[in-house]
Amino acid sequence: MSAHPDALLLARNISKSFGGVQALHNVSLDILRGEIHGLIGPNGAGKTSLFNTLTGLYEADQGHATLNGERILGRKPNEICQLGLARTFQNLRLFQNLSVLENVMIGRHVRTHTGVVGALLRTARAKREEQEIAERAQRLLAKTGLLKHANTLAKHLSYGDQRRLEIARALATDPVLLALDEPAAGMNATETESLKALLLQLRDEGLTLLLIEHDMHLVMQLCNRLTVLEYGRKIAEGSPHEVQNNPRVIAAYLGTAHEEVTS
Amino acid sequence: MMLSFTPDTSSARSPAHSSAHSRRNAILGSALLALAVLVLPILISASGSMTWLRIADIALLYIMLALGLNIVVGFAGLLDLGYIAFFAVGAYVWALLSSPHLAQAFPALGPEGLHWPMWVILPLGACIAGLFGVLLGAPTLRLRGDYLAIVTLGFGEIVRIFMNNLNQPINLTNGPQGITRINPVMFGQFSFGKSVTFGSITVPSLMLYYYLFAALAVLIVVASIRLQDSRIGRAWEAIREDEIAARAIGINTRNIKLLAFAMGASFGGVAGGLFASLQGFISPESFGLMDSICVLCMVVLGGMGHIPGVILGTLLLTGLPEALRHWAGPAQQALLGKVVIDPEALRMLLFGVALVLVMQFRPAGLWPSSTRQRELEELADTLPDDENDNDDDDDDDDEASQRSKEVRS
Repeated sequence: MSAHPDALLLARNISKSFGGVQALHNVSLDILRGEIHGLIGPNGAGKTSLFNTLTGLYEADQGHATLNGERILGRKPNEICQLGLARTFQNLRLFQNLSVLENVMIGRHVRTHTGVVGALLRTARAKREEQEIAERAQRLLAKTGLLKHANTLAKHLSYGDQRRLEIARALATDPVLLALDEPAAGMNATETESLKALLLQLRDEGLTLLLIEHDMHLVMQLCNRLTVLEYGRKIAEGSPHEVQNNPRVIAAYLGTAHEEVTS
Repeated sequence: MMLSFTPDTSSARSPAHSSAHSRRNAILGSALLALAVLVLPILISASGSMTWLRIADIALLYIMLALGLNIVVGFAGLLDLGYIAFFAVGAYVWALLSSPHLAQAFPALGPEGLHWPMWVILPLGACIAGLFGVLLGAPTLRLRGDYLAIVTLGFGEIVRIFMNNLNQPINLTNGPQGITRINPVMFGQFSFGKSVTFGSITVPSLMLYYYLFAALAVLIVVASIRLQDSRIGRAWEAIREDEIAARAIGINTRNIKLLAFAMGASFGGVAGGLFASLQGFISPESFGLMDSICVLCMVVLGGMGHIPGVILGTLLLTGLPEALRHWAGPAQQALLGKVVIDPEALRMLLFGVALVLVMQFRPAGLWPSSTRQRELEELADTLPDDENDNDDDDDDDDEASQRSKEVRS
């Protein structure tokens, strides 16, 4: 498979096993600039494992991946974030006892520079940067509709708002690729609708998104292209329409006639 | 919506009330506090008690120590049980560089040893302590919670044991005998070790030290506030809250943790140097595990991560035991006719009781930060009444009651 000229993220032949369990088997993935790329598959297919490998939380057994031409596999999570790949977590990992605003401000850490000396002396530069961090964080809160909760502790937000806060925090790192692990999980219909609007807005602003999602309705509406995993292998790739009609995908989700007879 | 970014953390965190009003209150409050700090030693020495003046000096040193530990434990959430080691490093750096002791090991220095000025030794002590903070922190980077506590406890003891045994092959620390004849703080020819007479007023040495320590303690308080309210402070808090998330959003957790260890240790190093100069004598027995635990208690009792709380905890834990030491004996004598419980034993007993009570009724400390406070209150509101008074983190309890229900049924 040759690399697409517009590819922002290129992952080739990634394998990862945990003891005897092969979580990922020679998975390759191309994410094109400006698209919303869906990563779908039944539970346990390896979607989150692929996420964790690409974002540096897991070390791949083999394979390589680049973001914007820069190697990302083998780097630390914070370095990968620095290169422009930000992510959210399936089971929310907010800074629970800090305020909503602080959560987003921490997201600016990677793009700012004040060190101990600057902080201790409160230099003009440090103050300016601090101001900038706060303003930027507030803009992101406004964009994600969380500004009214700015001073609330993160853990007191509703579930849907917590998901949005994680997105706001990830956006604060100025990513080129935003990877969302089941952003709509646990959301009601209204919340999902506004999430969809937000993600489309982000794409229109030029951000590329990688999306793990179980809500097929949402996936089909949002994604430009899909990659389907099953048992750690890629079984299909293409537009939502192509994937929907792919017999292997249908088999993965619904089982095959043959299996039903024998089981 | 307007957000103020003043040094006062509570106003940045709590929903903004009328900020002009609260600012006026804050200024008034700090002015009163400053006045109290300035007047206190005069009142104490007017009462003729040098002992209490010394206790006030020591309390200021403990404030610096506790604020240093607060960076590691309170801000970054790294439980450190060996913190006193950095106090020891600071004290020994001062002692070696401003006493005749080194002349024994290195005759080349001449019979008088080294007597460097404070301007050199104090920053140097802070830097060396900070370096030790990094050295001892580096192997623990992957540890958290109990495991980290055990390893740091071991490191603390290792440092003490080194101090105890480094009188061979070259006599660096003079072993258990400790180092004597340490210089007092000197500003040029002006010595803090002797009382000074201005006209008819005599200012005792301990009062001179008091004002010096107070000035440095204020510096350390300001440094703590500024650090907490900065990009670095937020990164520490992020690590405390969720290390994996912190890494995923680009925080270099290794460096930021080492920075916490280094900053905390350097505060301890400053306090240690001042301690050596105040006492004129140091030995390894001032730097034992109990001392580490004592500083940790000050931080925890006052309110981890909350600077005013930590200061309150320090004042209580240095003041009350001394008060007890002085009054418990005579009080028993007066009431019962004899001393029933040794004041020293009573001190430890009450210390233990106080900690148990605090853990039971104010798990976030006596004066927790406003956010922590709010959060506990909200938790209390959501709990059924009979569980109200006891806790912060109810998971264990829930589990336990679940289990006991199962057993009963």
